Amino acid sequence: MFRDGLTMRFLIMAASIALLIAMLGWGVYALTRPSEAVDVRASLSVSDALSIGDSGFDLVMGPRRFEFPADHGPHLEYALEWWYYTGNLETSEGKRFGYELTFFRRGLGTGGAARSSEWATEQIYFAHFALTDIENDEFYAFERFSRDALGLSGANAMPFRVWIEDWSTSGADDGILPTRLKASDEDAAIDLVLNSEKPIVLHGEGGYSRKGSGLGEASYYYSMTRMPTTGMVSVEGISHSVSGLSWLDREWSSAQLSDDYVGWDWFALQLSDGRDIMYYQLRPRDGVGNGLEAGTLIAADGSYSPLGAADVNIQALDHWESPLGGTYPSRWRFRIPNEGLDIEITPYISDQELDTVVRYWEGAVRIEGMANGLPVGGSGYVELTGYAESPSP
Amino acid sequence: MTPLLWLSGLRHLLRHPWQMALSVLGITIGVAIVVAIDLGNQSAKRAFDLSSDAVSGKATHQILGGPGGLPEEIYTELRVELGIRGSAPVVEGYAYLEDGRVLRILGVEPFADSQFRPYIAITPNSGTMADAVELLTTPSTALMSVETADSLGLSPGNTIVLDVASIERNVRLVGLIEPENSLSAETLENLLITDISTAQELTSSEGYLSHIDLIVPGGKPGQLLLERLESVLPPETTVLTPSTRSEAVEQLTASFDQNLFMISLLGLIVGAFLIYNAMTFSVVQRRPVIGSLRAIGVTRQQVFALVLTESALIGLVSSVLGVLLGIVIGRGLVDVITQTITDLFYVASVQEVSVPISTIAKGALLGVLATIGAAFVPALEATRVPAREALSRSHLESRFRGTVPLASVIGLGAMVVGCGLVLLPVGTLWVSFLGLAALILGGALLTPASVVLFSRVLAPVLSLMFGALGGMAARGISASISRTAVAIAALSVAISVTISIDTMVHSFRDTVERWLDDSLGSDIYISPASLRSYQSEFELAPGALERIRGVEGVGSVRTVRNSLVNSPEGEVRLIATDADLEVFVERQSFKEGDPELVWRALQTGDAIAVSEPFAYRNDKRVGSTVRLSTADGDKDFRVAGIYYDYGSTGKGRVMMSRAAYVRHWGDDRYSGVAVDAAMGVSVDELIARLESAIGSGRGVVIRSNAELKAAALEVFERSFAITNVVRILAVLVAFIGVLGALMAIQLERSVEFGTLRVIGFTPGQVWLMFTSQSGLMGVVAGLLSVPLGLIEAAVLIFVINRKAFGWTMEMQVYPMTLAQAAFIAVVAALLAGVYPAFRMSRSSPAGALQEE
Repeated sequence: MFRDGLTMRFLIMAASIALLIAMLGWGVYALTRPSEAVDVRASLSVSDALSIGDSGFDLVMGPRRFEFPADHGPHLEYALEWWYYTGNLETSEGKRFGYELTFFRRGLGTGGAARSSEWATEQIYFAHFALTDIENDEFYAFERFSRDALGLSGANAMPFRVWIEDWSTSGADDGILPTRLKASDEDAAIDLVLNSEKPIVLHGEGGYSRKGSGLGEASYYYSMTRMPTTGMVSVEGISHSVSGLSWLDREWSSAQLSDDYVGWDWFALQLSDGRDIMYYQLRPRDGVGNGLEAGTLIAADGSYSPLGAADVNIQALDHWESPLGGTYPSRWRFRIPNEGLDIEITPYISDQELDTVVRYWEGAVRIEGMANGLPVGGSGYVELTGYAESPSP
Repeated sequence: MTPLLWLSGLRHLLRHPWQMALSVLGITIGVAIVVAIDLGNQSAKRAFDLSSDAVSGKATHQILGGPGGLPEEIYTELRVELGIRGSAPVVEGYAYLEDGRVLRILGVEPFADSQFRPYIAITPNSGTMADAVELLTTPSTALMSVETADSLGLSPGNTIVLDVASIERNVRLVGLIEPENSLSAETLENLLITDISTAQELTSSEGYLSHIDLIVPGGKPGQLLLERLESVLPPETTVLTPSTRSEAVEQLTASFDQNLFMISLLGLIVGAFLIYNAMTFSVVQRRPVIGSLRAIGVTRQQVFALVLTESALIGLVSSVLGVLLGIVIGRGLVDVITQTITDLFYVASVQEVSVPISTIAKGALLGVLATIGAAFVPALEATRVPAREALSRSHLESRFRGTVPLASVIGLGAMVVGCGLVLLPVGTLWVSFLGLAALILGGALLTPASVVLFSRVLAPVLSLMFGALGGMAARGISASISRTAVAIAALSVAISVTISIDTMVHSFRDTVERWLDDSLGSDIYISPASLRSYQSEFELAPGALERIRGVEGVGSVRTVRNSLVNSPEGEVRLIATDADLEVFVERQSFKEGDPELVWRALQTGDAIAVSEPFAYRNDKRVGSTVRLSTADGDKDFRVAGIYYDYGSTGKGRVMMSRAAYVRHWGDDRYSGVAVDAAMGVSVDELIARLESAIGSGRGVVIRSNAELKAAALEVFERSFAITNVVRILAVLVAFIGVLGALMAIQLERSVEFGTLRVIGFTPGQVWLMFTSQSGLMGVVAGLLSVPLGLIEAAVLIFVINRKAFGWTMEMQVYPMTLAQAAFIAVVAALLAGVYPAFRMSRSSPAGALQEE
């Protein structure tokens, strides 16, 4: 429909415009584009990333001399350490509460480079705070992390203080006792003062507690098993004046749980007859092989003796399904035949699972049964790890 | 409208392809300038927004420190004493890679941070623990996103060399962050995430935080928390929302953006003139066709629609091409614009240029609107063509000449309105720009009258010089004034734009240079290294001043402290000086206030001097007060003087005596030291001694007077790089347009020249006459562009720049600029004449006449 010449001219013209535009654009781009080369200095590969086990920490190799109050403080030459408070409390009207307040220290290295920033540290602290409101069947649990820098968290032997921000355990000027525990988060708070009725208990071989057969698979472990406690518990903004008994476990080591074991069941029992029992069972992976179990029986006068697998018989009577996955044993028959002890241990409420980074069950339990033919009661705490469906890495 | 009518229009366009092509190109480049500049601005802004989002994360508020920075102990107090859990400390900074790419250093406390920036959540048992351990315990380790690492060719374990405030740092990449989606990938672009300890060490800010992020709940609890904070925090700190902060930063660039946009519009205006020229010409050419169409029953409305539709099509095609070209140019300009924004406002680093729809829409819409607007008058003109018969050419010309007085009156009117708008003391930049557009339009409308005047004056002169031929060439211009006037107007407007931009940049540079000469009186300047060119809020290391004083050959020493203090209205830049009276009077030039009185007032501690931009933005005069948040609470300071300051952009700054500053803020650090060499000591020698005494390259820059001045001017040149690109493109548009218009005119006049050949002119004579006529049109356009360009320059200098930046500049007229403009005009015109003249001189007279 167009004369050929006209079409041709149109095409030439269009092509020229396109060319001109392209040249113009390229010219501006070429003049201003950034260069692309970046200097990369190749060095170590990522497989050199540190694993916590081999960072120059001391291993727990055998019994040691404990020195207090120094040993209440941190042991930075070991990788892992905790201050573990649990307790059962009651108001004058009989409202019952259980609490857990645990401070963990984790060393990430020893004696690293000198740093100019105050934030630089090789110690991190984390803590768990849980409160069980037995009457209302409610369980509150919180977790915190911080670094040992600028006073954000840390641990001191003298004066005794372990803290993460505004959660803390602290002693008087001259020692660990009386100990004040403070923690609060949304909807739950405790402010308690703890004393001790019994001297310090050194578990295992004078505080050297085996946790496996491998090198360094052990911890230093001592407890204060009967700590009369008074103070305040707050739930949903309502404060309650309470009293009861607390328990402190102190442990440090440089070994994580041996691969032979999948988790542990740990019992801290305070009997109404004045006796206390600590007992743990490390459960073999896939049920194959032998577990490792041990404990300590503390008499009312504070004297104590070790317990072994031959002494103790534990039978789970019930199970609890976690809504988050995993099945936990939930009620036990606990017997020490040589002591004439036959008791049943029942969680005050079923769901006392902490949905923390490592999920576990740690809860207040009621004790009912017989000791040497006489009725015995009491309360305690049970810790169950390795049952959650997604185990910790 | 019938297809036949369409075809007639299309056919016309195709028969005059070069004419069409050149007007398409004019609009294309005009649109491209707008798109390219918008793209550059938007990319810089988007990069800043995204990295701000990534950096501020979920924070609802931020605690900012006073001039001394935010001491890190405040964070401990917040966490341990007050138990405020929704808080996280942040240390920020910037690092240069060797290729000039900028990474934003984000130093976090990983445990506190997971609630703010979930992408860096680290817990002792998460998969990233191994990375986290390294990050926490090993100095100079960092994380970055997979994409950023890829683009740098890095993998974990690699070490990268960074320049942080002129100190070389090696940082090892210990892990990668896998963004969840492309947006978070984009927000993590260029982010170097480190532990807060590493960030402090890299940026040499041990002991201080950039800010503390907060998550403040809504409602009553949040209110209570903020009040509690208020009562605990030191008075010189402030609590702001991150959006207020980034908005404040973006407000700084608003004027810069607008200014660039307006300058890019100037390019488009030139393009619109070309379209006007082309459409007018095409209507004039088609009078017989339109007359016939009208005779066979086509209505005026249909003719109007035909012309407008044609132009809309041209506009559309040009706009599409313009957007494409703009994107290409924009990718190139991004770096230039980003550099300027970094020099003047905030650190922006753009890797990905994404093209927002808004930019495309803006460019395309402006292109089409400009085309249709420009074609409106020609379309109206087309409807006036009477049916059946085309008016004779001579009638047309005389009728056009009849409208010349009217056009002149309207032109004068437009200029008056333009002046009014420009001189309006209130109003935004837009009003001023509208005034500028009216002035340009007025100038264009005065062109026909000027052309007539010129040809009357020139004809006798040229006759005298070149004989009859010369006179004919001059009179020929006014004889075919309907075409020549439009072409000359287009050319002169285009040239005037280049004159105005050139004059503005030169005047500005001159003003700044003179100001630098006045204020940089010392021999040597020592300052901490900074990304932001020659402005710095950093401080010299403690003890540096004492070491400087101790260097042999150091004469007098003066210090300066640049800092950012808070005020109820937001952050204020402050400069504290310890200059003595003599130096102060010599180096500080005041717009208002007597230097000596100002100096005495500053010594009282209750008075400040404010920079001209500050006074302009905040409407302050001598005697006004400015409220600043000192360490003892808010305090009013009296304005004792207003000083010229071209060294800070945005909101301007305030000046006080060092003694007063230290007293009010308790900050006794230094941002810079000016040193005079003692008698008989050479500056170079002293610089060498200072370098060995305080260590050059360790975050300190030691420059001579001349070096500092050169560095400042370099920043200046950089910030006008884009303006220059626009200017060059405007010249290109003008050149192309004039080429097209003149070529069309001269081709159209083949008959005239055919006649000349017939009556005995030699091809050489025809060629000469033809070329001289083109050249003459160029000269006229060049002459007209000078006053128009100077008026535009005055508006840019005295109104638009003042409103945008608050600076007073002296206008300087550069003969070179004018000569260059005239040269462009004449060369364009002469070149435009080459091809038609060549064709003309070769054509046989009979052939030329036959075409009629």
